[in-house]
Amino acid sequence: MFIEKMEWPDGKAYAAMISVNLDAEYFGKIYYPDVNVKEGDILRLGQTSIRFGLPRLLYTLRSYGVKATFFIPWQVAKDYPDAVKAVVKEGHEIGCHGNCHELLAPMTKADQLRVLKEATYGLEAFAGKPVEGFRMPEGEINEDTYQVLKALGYTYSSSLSDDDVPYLRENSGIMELPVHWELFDLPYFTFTFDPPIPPGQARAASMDDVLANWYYELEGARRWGTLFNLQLDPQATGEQGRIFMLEQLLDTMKETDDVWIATGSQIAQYCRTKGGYHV
Amino acid sequence: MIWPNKAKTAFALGFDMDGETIWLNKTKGLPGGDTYLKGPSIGRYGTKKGALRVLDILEEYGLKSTWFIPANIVARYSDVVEKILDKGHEIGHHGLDHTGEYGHTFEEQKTRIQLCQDIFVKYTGKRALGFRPTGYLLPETERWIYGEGGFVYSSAGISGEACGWYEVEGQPTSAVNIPCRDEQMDDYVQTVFHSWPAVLVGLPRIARYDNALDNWIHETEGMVRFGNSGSSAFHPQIAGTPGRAMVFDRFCRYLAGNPDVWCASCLEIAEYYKGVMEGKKHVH
Repeated sequence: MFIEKMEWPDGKAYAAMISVNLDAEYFGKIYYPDVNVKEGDILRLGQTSIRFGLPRLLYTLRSYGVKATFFIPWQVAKDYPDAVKAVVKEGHEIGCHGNCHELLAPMTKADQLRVLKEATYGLEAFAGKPVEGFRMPEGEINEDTYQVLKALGYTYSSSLSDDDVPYLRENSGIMELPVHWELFDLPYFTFTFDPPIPPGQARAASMDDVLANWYYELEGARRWGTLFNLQLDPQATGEQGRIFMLEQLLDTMKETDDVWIATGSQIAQYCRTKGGYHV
Repeated sequence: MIWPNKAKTAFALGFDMDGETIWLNKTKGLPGGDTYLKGPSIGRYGTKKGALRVLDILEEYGLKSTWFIPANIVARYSDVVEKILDKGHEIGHHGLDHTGEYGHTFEEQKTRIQLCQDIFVKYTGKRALGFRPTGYLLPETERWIYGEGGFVYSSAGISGEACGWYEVEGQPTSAVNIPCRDEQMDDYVQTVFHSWPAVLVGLPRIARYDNALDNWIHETEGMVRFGNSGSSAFHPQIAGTPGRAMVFDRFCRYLAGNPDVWCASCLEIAEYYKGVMEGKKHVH
């Protein structure tokens, strides 16, 4: 075998990170970086996600006793402070998801530092402690971004797709907890008419189809000992018809009891102290 | 055509190990595009983990395959290419950097292809004998590729259904055509996704993996039914992620357990076909 299995705590077969990207209406910028998110379908979907999706997700996580990692754009915390306070109160980890969900890579390093510094300090005021984790606003980042993260005291990022277990980035020393699009609910489900999201107006996926893919990912993570890094947006899985998907996954994980469910900072710290990562 | 072991079809598992090339090609025109990390990280997965996982699965089922690799990727990840060759798989031509640019004239195109061959020789010790083009080629260039240029077969997307002599402007060459119906047999088409810049255009939903698998099997059954043969365009950066590797594993199990399918590398298929057609081999 070319790939050696990673070791996880307590002899668990694989690790799972349940993460939530609390984008509210700023999800529109995933599809149109310059769109005005404060109007129309995009705003309504964002408001619905905060009002209905988030409480439902929080309830489900609480009933399963799962601590998740919430990546939040600073602008969302400013627009919806009560939502972020509710997340903190539940004991979930807070991470940074940009300032205003901006495209970072085209910016100068100084500008990246400026916007991320403001976001970091702002989110830390909500969290009441240092924010350790960063997830890039969907779009693009570059090596400057990692240098800025290092300067701001971040220990890990959960942004790139070039591995399936955590690894240490060479220049910045930031631990990367990789993500893959297939394990993110939003691209499967989000839909607006105006502007068209997705741009080709593909129909929302079948929930059963998506759950079937996630079960393949779960089986794959178990077989190869990788990190099952689930990304949720309250507008998608927090929705009344779709919440069963998360419930079923968590039921399976609890039944098999061979997975280490942990937050981003716990996973990053484990990998750093145990040296159990691949470079 | 009757294939070895009385199989009704010859099928080659074909992989396009494109690495970061296809991602960098999309972003290099954007502001600071050559510094972007996210898109290329999806491609990097293929050479870092995906290829290795795919090789492990192929070994489990005893299947041999063909890997089409841009020459720049052969140079950059020669350690991975060495592992592919060590396990008895074939490597084939897949452009220099997947830009699709072979040049406008015969001389330019020929020079480009020879440059790729030089890189193959430098890093692997041998020339590619199979050709999966990444861009437009002049008929004159194609006649050279499949004649004096020394390539034994072509395995291109959208190139019919039947295994036969590769034709240029209606005239057969001495090379074999191994078709690849990429609407069905390309896992990138079915499950790749990246938000910005949009991949695929219009951002269609990622398919249900089971549906992709069903299509691969239906397509293989079509080859069996009509006595055709072909290849696939799987991508280590797609097929090798944990969930999709589970599905790929199932397809390998199907292929290995189907007596109607002779699963071999493209080169083995091309050489067998040539042998039979040129009367060097008796039909089994």
